[in-house]
Amino acid sequence: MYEMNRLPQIIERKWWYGGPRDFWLKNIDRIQDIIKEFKVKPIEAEHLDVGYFETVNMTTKSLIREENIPEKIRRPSFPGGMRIPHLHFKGDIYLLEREAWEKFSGQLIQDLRMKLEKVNSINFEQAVEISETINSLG
Amino acid sequence: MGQVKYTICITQECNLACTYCYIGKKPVRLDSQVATAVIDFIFENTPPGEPIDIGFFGGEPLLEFDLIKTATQLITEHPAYSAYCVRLTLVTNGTIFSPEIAHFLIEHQISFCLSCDGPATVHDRFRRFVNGNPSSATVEHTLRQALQVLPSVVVNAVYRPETLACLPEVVSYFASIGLKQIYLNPDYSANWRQAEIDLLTETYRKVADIYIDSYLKHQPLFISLLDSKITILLRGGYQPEERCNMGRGELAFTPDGRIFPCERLIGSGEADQHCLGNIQSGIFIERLGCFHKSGGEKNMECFSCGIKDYCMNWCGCSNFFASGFYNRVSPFICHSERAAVETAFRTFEFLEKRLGAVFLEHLSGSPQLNSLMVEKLKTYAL
Repeated sequence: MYEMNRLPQIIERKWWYGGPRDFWLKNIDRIQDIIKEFKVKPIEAEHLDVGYFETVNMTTKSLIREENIPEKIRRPSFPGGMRIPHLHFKGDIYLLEREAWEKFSGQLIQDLRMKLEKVNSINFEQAVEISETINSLG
Repeated sequence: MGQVKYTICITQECNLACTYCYIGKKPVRLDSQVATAVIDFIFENTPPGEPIDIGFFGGEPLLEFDLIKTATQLITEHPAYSAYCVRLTLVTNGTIFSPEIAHFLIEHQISFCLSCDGPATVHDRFRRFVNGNPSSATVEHTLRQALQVLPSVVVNAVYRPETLACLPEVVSYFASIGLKQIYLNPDYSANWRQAEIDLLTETYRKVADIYIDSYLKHQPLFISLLDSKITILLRGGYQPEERCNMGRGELAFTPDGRIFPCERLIGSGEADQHCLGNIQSGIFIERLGCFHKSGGEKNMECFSCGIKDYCMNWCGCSNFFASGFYNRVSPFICHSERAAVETAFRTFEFLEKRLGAVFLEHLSGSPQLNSLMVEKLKTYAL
């Protein structure tokens, strides 16, 4: 079994493209509401556990010119993100206490529950009907 | 654009005769000229900087280990190659393995995905050697060896109507060997009847019980049936780049250089029904149009369904196998997806209540990371 900071690069490499993805954009209003309601303050990454972020030298190919560009990127020293409930909002990180996280995830659960009440289904009779219709059209 | 996926079929020969195989076995193997042309094509047609997923496939690709080495060298020595853009995967039937193969996979950071349907009673029903002998013992031996030496081992199990009810047993078997990353995939081309559809929810819930138990014991498993849906539920649905991209962001190449929109369509249909062209002569643009609707649902029931964003109603090859159309969903897919979404939701709800925020990795799109943690999963009692 591998320790977190020596995970196979196959997995780790995924994180070189940045951390959070579109979840944060899709839920931006909700995130803003939680931050306001619980008066959460943003934190700086440097204030997190020492060694969470490391600066990595790498080169990348310019999309405009045919040359390699050296750059430094800051990435978590282990892949997988922080092991603390948190939200990303406009470039900042907001750590959440239990109550805030429960409210946030509770809202997600409520949304999902409502969607699950509106499911349709495709049954065999309908499938046969469609196939016969299509076949009759030649 | 998102990740681009290419599958290179190293050979269409195989030492197994799996009854549900869709590849179409024949004695053709990749040669270096075609390999060079395929790899040039891959890099020339992928925008710079885009993540590239290249899978070595078959038949059984490890029958031609030297060809895999050649293809890997061609990829890594290509002028456009970037180690942090390209991810290599090998999909194998698990009957061929050695320290040399393991060393090569580790050295070149090639993901190892092994096809195994479960314990002998399940696996040997459909996955036997060409001579009819069972293959389960050989495959289990490979699994155990691979787990000892490789950083990550992924297993892919196919289930059919005859083995649906065995899914909990299959998952328990894999967990007992030490596998942590388990993919479960139905054979969409099988004859799924109402009787099996009626079993889906109950069966998936039994699998979920094993999954929940693994979390409560702080040794979480990754089970694709649940983890992929929990991820999608948290992230608001499949994003456009996560949906079927066959023929646009996904291509498969046969050993003789033919191009297909997906490796699962290589041996399907009548005489190259799905073929898009050839690596020498190029792609027939007019054929690409056949797949342009693969990303959208066409069943009227799907348009107004509350969970359509979380449903794989868009998978072109699955739809084709199940219904004969790229964009028409079969009853089995509909009910299976519904059962998976509902089960994943209840599992997520239960574990969130019991353990707190344990799905942060899922939220950010890497659900398998929970299963790779060494430290015990902690509850976030802040």
